[in-house]
Parts: sequence; C-alpha cells; structure tokens
Amino acid sequence: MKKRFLLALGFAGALVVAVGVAVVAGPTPGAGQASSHREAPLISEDPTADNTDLYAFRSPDKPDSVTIISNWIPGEDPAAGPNYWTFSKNARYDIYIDKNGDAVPDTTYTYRFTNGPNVAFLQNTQQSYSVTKTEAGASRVVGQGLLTPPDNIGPKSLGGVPYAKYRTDQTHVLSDGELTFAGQRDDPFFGDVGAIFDLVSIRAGTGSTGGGKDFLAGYGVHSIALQIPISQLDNGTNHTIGVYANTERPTPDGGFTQVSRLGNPLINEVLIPTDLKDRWNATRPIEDSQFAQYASTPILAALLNKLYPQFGPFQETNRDDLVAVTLTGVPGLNYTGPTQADLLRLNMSIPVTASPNRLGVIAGDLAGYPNGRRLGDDVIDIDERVIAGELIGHKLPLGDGVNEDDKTFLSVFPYTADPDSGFANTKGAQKPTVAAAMAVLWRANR
Amino acid sequence: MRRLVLLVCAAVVLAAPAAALAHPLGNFTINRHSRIEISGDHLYVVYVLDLAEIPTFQARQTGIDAKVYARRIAAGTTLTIGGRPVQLRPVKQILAFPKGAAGLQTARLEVLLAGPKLHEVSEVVYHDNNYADRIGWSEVVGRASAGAHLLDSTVPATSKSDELRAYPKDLLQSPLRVTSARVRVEAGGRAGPLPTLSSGTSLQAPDRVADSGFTRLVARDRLSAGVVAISLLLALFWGAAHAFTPGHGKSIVAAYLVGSRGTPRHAVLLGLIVTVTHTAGVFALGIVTLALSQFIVPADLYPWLNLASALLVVAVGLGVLRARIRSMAQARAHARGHAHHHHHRHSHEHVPPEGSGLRGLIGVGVSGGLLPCPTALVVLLAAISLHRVGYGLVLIVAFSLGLAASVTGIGLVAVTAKRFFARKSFDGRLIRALPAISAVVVLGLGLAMTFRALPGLP
Amino acid sequence: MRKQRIAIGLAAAVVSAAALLLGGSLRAGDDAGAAPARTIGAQQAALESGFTSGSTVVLVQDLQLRLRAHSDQGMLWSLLGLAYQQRARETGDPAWYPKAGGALERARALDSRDPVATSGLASLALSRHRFRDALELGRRAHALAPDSARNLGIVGDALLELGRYPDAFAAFNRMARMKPSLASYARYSYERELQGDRAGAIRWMSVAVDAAGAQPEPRAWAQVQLGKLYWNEGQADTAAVEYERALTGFPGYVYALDGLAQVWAARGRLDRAIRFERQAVASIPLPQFVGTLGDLYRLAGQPSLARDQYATIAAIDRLLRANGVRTDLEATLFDVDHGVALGSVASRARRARLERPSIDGDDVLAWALARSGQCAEARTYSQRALRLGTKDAVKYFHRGMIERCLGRSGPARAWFARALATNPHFSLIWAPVARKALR
Repeated sequence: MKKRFLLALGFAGALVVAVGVAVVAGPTPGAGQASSHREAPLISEDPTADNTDLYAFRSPDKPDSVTIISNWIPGEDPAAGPNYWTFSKNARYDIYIDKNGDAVPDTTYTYRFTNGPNVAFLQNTQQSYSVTKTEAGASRVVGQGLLTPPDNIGPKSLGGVPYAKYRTDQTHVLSDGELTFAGQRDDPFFGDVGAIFDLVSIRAGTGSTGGGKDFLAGYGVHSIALQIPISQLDNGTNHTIGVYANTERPTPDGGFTQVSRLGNPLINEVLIPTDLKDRWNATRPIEDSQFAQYASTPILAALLNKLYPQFGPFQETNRDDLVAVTLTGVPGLNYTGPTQADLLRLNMSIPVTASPNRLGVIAGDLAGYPNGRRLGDDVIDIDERVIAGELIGHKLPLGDGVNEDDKTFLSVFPYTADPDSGFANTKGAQKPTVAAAMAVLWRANR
Repeated sequence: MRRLVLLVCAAVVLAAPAAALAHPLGNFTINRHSRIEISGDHLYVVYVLDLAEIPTFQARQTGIDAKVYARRIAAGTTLTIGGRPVQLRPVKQILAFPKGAAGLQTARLEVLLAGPKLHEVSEVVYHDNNYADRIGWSEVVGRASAGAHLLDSTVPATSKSDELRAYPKDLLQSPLRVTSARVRVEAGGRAGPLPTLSSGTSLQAPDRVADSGFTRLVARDRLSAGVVAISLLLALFWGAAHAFTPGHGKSIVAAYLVGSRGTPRHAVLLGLIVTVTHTAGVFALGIVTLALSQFIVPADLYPWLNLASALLVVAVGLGVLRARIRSMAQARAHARGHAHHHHHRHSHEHVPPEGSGLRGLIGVGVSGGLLPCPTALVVLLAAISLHRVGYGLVLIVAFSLGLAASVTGIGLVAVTAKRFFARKSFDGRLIRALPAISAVVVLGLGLAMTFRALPGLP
Repeated sequence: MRKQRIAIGLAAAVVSAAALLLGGSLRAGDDAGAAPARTIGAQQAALESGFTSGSTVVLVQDLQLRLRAHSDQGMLWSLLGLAYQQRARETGDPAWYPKAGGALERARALDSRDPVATSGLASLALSRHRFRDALELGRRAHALAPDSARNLGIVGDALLELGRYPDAFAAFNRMARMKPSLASYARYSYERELQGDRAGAIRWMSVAVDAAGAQPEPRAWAQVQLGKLYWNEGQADTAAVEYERALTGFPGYVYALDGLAQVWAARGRLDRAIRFERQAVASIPLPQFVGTLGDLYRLAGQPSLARDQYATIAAIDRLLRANGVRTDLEATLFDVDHGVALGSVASRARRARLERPSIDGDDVLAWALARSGQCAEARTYSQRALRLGTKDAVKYFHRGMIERCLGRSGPARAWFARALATNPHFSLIWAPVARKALR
C-alpha cells in the first residue's frame, strides 16, 4: 500500500514537473511578419540565364554557311518598364559545336556582356560585348567592343532611328569571318501553350486545322546569332555537327557553374521529370545517357494512352526512335555516333529547301527539324506527333493549332524579326492575360 | 485529493482565456468596400471602411471624426456618368468600434454617398482611390433596385466578404484588390428608397471569421495553466474512450486474465504495463519517426507496426499455450500422483504454469500497448514540432492513463467474472482446460491480427 | 523450454525490427496516378522555377482557376503555396501566409513526400521565425530533392538564425556552387558581411542585383541590401543611389522608402526624412518603420507625435503577445533602446535569444543586460556578438556602453570611436550619445 502510494505520488510529482517545464520553457513561435530578420528571395527566377530556344540551319540566302541562333530571357514584355531586360554582365553565354560525335565541344563561342552607362531615367539597354573562340583547348578573342542595339522601348528612346538600322549597324564580323549579332529580337517561338499543358488537351479535336492561340505573340527575347562558313565546321565524313547552348554563372570560389542549357527543343518540358529538372540543367550533354530512359520510356506516351485511348495505343516503352531523335541523331539523317547526348544535330550536306515545310522531316522536308531546326519549324506539332509514334508507324495529325509565328522572319541575317516597340505595344497598357503569363512562365522552364 | 481536483477544475474554468479575435486579414490592414447602388433613378455608393487594430489605434491618436472621414472618402472616389465626371457627396455616415485582439479596437465606418439622377441608359465608371498603397481587402459590387436594371457590370452584385464582415477562408481566393467598376444601367422611372447603413449587431460585425486555421489544441501559442489542465483532462477522457475502439488488445487482456491466475492486482498491474508500454511506444515511435523522417513517413510505419505487434502476440500466445499444456500435463501427473497420497495436505498450489507469471503478464501488456494509435502519435509529433515537447509528453501520459484505466476496467471485469465462476468450484475438464483455451484464444487473436496486418503492408 | 521461448521472442523481435527498417526501402514506387502529375511537371517546373516580371498576380489567378477544376493536383497546390509566399514578399501583407500554409498542407496531404510542398513549408516556417522547424523541414526537403539549391538556402538561413555559423556558411557555399543565382549570391554576400569582409559583401550583392534581371521585387530587394551595405559603412550618398534605383524599378517599395528616410536624416533634412518614413508607415506600419518615425519626430522636436508612434509600437507589442509571441527580438530591442520596462527587459531578452541565438540575439541580450546594470555578464554576450568579426557600428556602440558601465573609460572611448568611424549615423538616438562621450 505504501509502495503504491509512493508510486502514485512520484507519478503525480513527475506530472507537475512536466507541466511546469512545458509551460515555461517551450520557446514560442515568432511573429508572422517579415520583420528585420533578413529574408533573401528563395523563389526568384533567373531569366537572364534562361535558354529558351536554339536553332541551327543552313542559311537560306548563303547556303555555304550555317546559322546558329540561341535565345534567352523568356517572355520579355517590350512595354514592361521601368526595368528593361539585358544580358547579364556576370554570366558567360556559350554556344558549343561538336564536330565528331563524341559530345565534346570542338568549337566554343563564349559571349560576355558589359552594361552601357546608366542614363538617368531610362537605363541604357545597349551593351558592349566580346566573343571568345575556343578550339582544341586554346582560346582567343575574336570580337571585342561589339555593341548590341538598345531594347526597342519606343521611338523617342531610339532617338528617332528606325530599329532596322540598329539591327544592321550592330551586325558584326568576327576575326575568322563569322557574322554575329546579339540583342533583343521578337521571340520566334510560336505555340498554343495553354492548351498543351491543360492536360495535353488539344484544341478543336486534333488541332491540326489551326485555330490555336499563339501565346508568345508580341513578346521578345534576347538573341545571339552566329553565321559560320560550313568549311569551318565540316568534318568531311558525315558533315554533321551537334550544337548546344548554355549559360554559366560565376561561383564564389572562382569557377563557373552551368545553370541552364539547351540542345533539342522541349526535352526539359516534355521528357524530363520535374524532380530531375535542376540536375538536367546542371549536366553537360556528354553525361546524358543517365536520362536516356526518359526518352526510351516517355511518360507523355503513357499519358496519351490514358487520356486519348481512342487514338491509341501509343507505344510507351523501347522508344528507340525517340532516343535516336534526341540523343544520337537519326541514322541516315543526322546520326553522329553511339555517344548519347542531347545536341541539336544538323547534317550540313542536306540542301536548303526552297519552300520549307513546317513539319520538317516527318513531312519529307529533310532540311527541317529534327535535322537542325529552322525558325519556321513547328516543333510542338512535330514533337507531339513523334512522341505519339510518327516515326514508328503510328501517324496522327496532332497539333496545337498554331502553325507559324505572328511575324514574318527576315530573309537575311539574323533572320529573326525585329522586336515590338514597347511604346506601340498594348501589352503594357493592359494587364497581361492569364494565357500570356502562362506562356511566359512555361518558357521560363529550362 | 478530491477537493484538490475540484479546486483545479474551478481554477481552470475561471482562468480560461477568451478566444483571441484578431482581425482576420491582419492587424495592419485598411479594408474598403464600395457598393454601387442604383435605386430607381438615383445613383448611390455605400462605402464601408474597415480599419484593423493598428490603423485604428493610429487614427484614434488624432481622433476619428466620421464626417471628416466621409468627406475625405468622397473626395477619394472618381465617378463618371457617360464620360462626364461627377462628384459623390457624403449624405450620412455611421461609425462603430468592434472589438479586436489584445483589447484593441477596430473601426467600421459606413458612408452613404449620393450621386446624380440617372436618365435611361447610363454608363457608369467608378474608381476608389482611397488608401491605394495600403495592404488590405478592396472590393466593389454593383446592384440595381426599385425599377432600375443592370444591363452589364464588371463587378458582381454580392460581396464576397459580406461587406467586410466575414472575410472568406477559401484557399483559392486571393485577398481582393478590386478598386473600380464599370456598369451599364437602365434607370428606373422615379426615385427609389435611400440605401440604408448597418446598425446594431451588423454594424458591430461579430461574425468575422478568423483566417488563421492554426489554432489546434497543441498549437495554441499561449499555454495558460487553465489550457493545460483542460487539455490534460481531455486527453485522459480521450484515452479512456479510445480504449473502446478496436484494438488495444482488450480481448487479449481479457482472455489472458481469464486463463491466468488473474487477480484484481494483476488487472491493475496489467493496466499499468499497458500505460507504460503505450507511452513508451509512442515516444519510441516518435523518436524513430523523427530520425527516419527523411526517408519514411509515419503513416508508412503503421502497417509494419501492426505486423510486429501481431507477431508478438502470436509469440506470447504460443509460449503461454505451451506452458499451459505442460502444466496441465504436470497437473494430471500430479493429480494421479496425489490420488495415491490423498491424505497429504496440499501445501502448495498448483505450480503456476510458466508464462502466467510476471513475464507472461508483461508480454500481454506490452502487446496490448505496443501499437500506438495514430492520433497519439500525431499529438506527440505536433508537440515536438512546435517545441512543446514537455506538454506533448504530458498529454501522451494522460492519454495512456485513460487508456489503461479502461483496459484495467475490462481486465477487472474479466477477473471478477472468473473469480465468480472459480468460487463455484466447477471442476470439470472444461474448466481445467480453460487456461489452455484462453492461451489458444490469445494465439488465435494474434494470428488473426497477423493476417489482418499482412494486406496492409505496402 | 525457456530457451525456446526466448528464441521465439527473439525471432519475433528480429522479424519486426527487420520489418520496420526494411519497410522504408521496400516502399512501392510511384503508382500510375502519378503519371499525369509528372508530365504536367513541365508546366509546373516552369511555375516552380520562378515568376517573371511581376506576373505573380496572374500566376496566382491561373493556379486558382486550375485548382478549382483539378483539386487533386498536389503539384499545383504546392506551386500556389509558393506563389502566395511570393505575394507576401511583394505586398508585405501577412494575410498571404496562412493561405500559403493551407495550400502547402493540402499538397502534402495529397503526397507526403512532395518535395516542393515540403520546401514551401520550410520557407514559410522561416518567414514565421520558426527557425528550428525551418531547419528540420529544410533538411527533409533537401533529402527529397538533393538537386534543388533552394533547400540549402533554407537550411542555411535557419542555421544562421540559430547561431550555427560554420554550418550555415557551408550550406551557402554548397548552394552557390550548385546553382549560382540571386538567391545564392545574396546569401554568400551576407556570409562575407558577417565575417567583416565588406568589399566581398558588396561585390557579391552587386552580382546578385545583376542576376535579378528586370524582375521588380527581387531586384529592388537586392538593391536595398546593397544600399544597406553602403549605409552601414557610412557611405550615405552611395546608399541613396541604390535606394532610389530600387524605387524606380519597384515604386513604393517600403524598404527603400525607409532607407531613404535614414539617409535624409543623416543629411540633416529631418523634414524629408519624416516624409519618406511616413510614406513607408502609411503603406504598412511595421514596427521598425513606426519606431524610426517616432525617433525622427523626437529629433525634430515634436515629442507628442513621437509619443503617438511609440504608443503604436506598444499596441503592436500587445497584439504580438496576444498572438502568443512573447519573445520577439525586435520588440525587445526597441524597449531596450527606448527605456521601456527596463526591469523585465533582461529576462525578455534572454527568452528572445533562446529562440534566436544568433549574434543579434547575443547583442540584444548584451545591451539589455547593460541597461539593467548587469555589465559583467553583458560583456560576455557582447564578445559573443562580435566573435565573427562583423563590422557593425551598433554592436561596437553597445560594447562601448558596457565598458563604460564597467568603469573602463579607455576601452569605452575606443569602442565609441570605432562605432562612429564605421557609420557616424548608426542610430538616431544613440549616435549623439557616442559623440558626446568622445568630447
């Protein structure tokens, strides 16, 4: 009895102590305000490092040369002042060319930009840049003090000079004879982004009859264009090059880290799972065999089977055709060898088509995607069809209903259209639509 | 002891803090609502201004003159009818100070602004420019009545916030930032009644819904003694009630006690063991969960714990059964032996079968308490995550005590029933087999638990 | 028999132990229901990676629309939670935090291993000053998504506030190597600043400004931080340039308004200073703005207006305590600075420091102890506060007061001089005290 009483007493005592401890010692949560505890952003994007598109094609007006265009900064709203977009002055913007299929760059062009002087009200968006060419481990500067045009803010800030003149003035020749241009352009990409990513719903049936909304109409990008004589790139055997572009940012320990890259269009959006996106962005193409399974077993095919069984069956596994298109090149077209790497592969021996077909190779136009990529190639439609099985005998007229850009491309270098003027552009005057923002954000994923 | 309990309860009741009525949108907000009201052939705007605690405090430092505010609000609106700018005039205003948090007040000002007479079809454009830079809810609605009709409107007819009385908690609803409206209205033929302003309780706006959603029991930031005491009592009753839900080895306990030489003391001891095991089980699981929380989610552990607990019961059942059978055999041998020496006094009880001693008791008690219920675990983990570990432990202990009390109660019932039957001194084979039968029941239950646990595994 | 029973018991134990341990790794992989989520991953990855040019409002609208149609899409809920947090930054309105929490909890209910939801909850915990929670959640998020640099930032931020500097710096260094961006540059800059490397801090914060591009709020935030770096080393005019740039890009940005108010006070133009600070207060009366406005009124010889501001701070304090916040570091510092309730200020500072044992927590406690007359203990904490080598005029000044209280006038003068040499306008109230002490 006594023992039990003592036990109970001890228990009660412990209870009291525990309660006391709980009430007094527990640290309380803090205020819900962002007070002076420093809150650096965690959700900020990096648009000036964001690769949006890469193009590679034989120049239609100069077929003995190849044009490579690489774009950054998705969804530039021309009227979105008072901050204006420019290339980042601390980043390295690179274009890599592999000539022999080993996924190791043989020629690299590195662009570095510095800002112009800060004009009081409007920031000066004209930048000065240098181009460094690296071959066989040796680097040399092939262009220095080159200028971009200013952003097309409006006629007053352009000083009454038509934008076209800026463009022609700021097309430069590099030491080895390449042409180059860097600066703001109209975004040549086109697509009905909202429909695609609303669970791959395709407007108006299979959508190939048009009627989609080009969500990117009117938006700009920052572009680097290079035109290189084929003689500098031809390996003499299969005449095929593999191209990719990336952005590198400096790290405090003095090095540079790749933060974005692009070879074939839409890989990151369509094939790579979300949780691997960051790793994919930081990986160099030579290590891409780790991602081969996502081309070989595309999740999108499984989704198509689920959502549109009436159009199926869509082959979900052993998709060697996709692996070929994205990672090695298609045999007989632009195959570079067994090394798997996400590169945009251009067979430079295939002649320029007089009347290009937007569907490229799958429509019989061998000068189009996936053999390189031209500005007018409708990569969304092509990708939808290829994933559905176009190359393995399952042909469907899939499409997003947007078949061309809202602008006419130039017939001369740099081929992309001049950007819309902020002054004339109504986008800034009205709130951006949900759709437009969707497009912007979709492009931001790289 | 009873008096102490009563005293504690009284103290708890008196000390219970009132619920904090913080302004639902935050204590710094200034919220505005405009209701464009076309009554007959006249246009009015009923403007509601809701100041949260701090802006009210600041405003009252210089004094809130409702008329001055009304004039300022009117001046801060722009109205065009058919493109023509028109000035709204304040006609009537009413001011109240609903209670806010921490003994501070909020302020609710309603102003009736009068506009012009309308002719036939008019295009009305309204902007509210008051407090444009201030965080807070801003809303515009538009209505027509008394013969007038709205042909077109960019704003809805009813307020989402009941005119700043009840801000919606919907996660998919952003705080509104609507400050303008465009309506096309067909005016009525003659003047309609003046819109009325709120009065009485609707002016005091008591229906505000706090938007926080984090006020769970353990999450209460302010742990007064009253709160702790109440929650302990709750935990105790919760645990007791919980014992009657499926699980917690009640049947096993009962079966075991029936079969063993269970005394009331055993029942109480069993109850204590269940408490300790249950508490320890929750703690252990909590610690393990936290340690493994990077890899395993608590919910995933449950199927495995079920299995472990079931297997343990099977083991105990097997062991006890084996011991019982052996002791029965011994007893038979002993009885046969006794038959020849019936004049000996039985100086000893039948040797208690191995396994019905403390060890078996512990085994059953452990298995009964082994499986911590998810709710207890959640309480503990929540407590840990809010750094109220001591409080959480105490709640768990109270919970386990309640649980044990119920289980003990059941055990006592079983023991008493057995005793009742034992006194009747049945001496049939069935009765002698009862201990073994109960062991079989324990084993059977353990096997049943195992089979039930298996499909739940991932 | 006994051995057998032991064997059975052991076997059962081993089986269950093995089951528990292996249970984790034998979890089933993704089920088919995850397929749609992973392919929409592209869109969501886009949304997750960030938000451009102030279109967060539209992003939020879009996500809300989609969630009304597909409320079972955990990924969309996660992104909505992140978007709500960004809205909170942009507007300063704390009403977004419970919504963010709700959205993220919904996401986590749908998939307890959702890395984005876990990461979002971790950053939300940071915003609510629940640093231990943030650390735990951040670590968990990092384990779920080791390639995402964001979670290293969260972990580092939490470790900083908990006073674990070497670990915090290690996290920031990893973050910067993994993904150099505004987020990692800003943190690395702070790392340099804390260790007294002002040039490095300024350099890397400038890189952060550049990395922000034309995004209004992130750029303005980085510019204000850069401005503060200049301000803290006494370069008021250079600070003003950055504050003005921030305002140009993000009109009405309260932190820039507050910074400019302090610059104008340093230039002797109290009228302008008051105008800027009033603008900040009118936009959102955060305690630090209200307090500064009160000090400005006091300096401008308008004591009753100053008292009004201080009374507002007291009201805010009451609200905080009613919400269960007893230990806010900033509130305690205000009280110490303004001589409010000095009797209890030391114990309040101790509790505040428990929650936030950073060098700021050390310094506030040191200052509170000094003003309570416990200067020997104060000195220990002041030494802790300065242990990283941070060049902080306010901390130097507190040390000077402590030395003076201990009767060591030589060192006291040296510390006062050091404070004024670092930033002659380090405090509206106390810089004059330091100057007077040196005459």
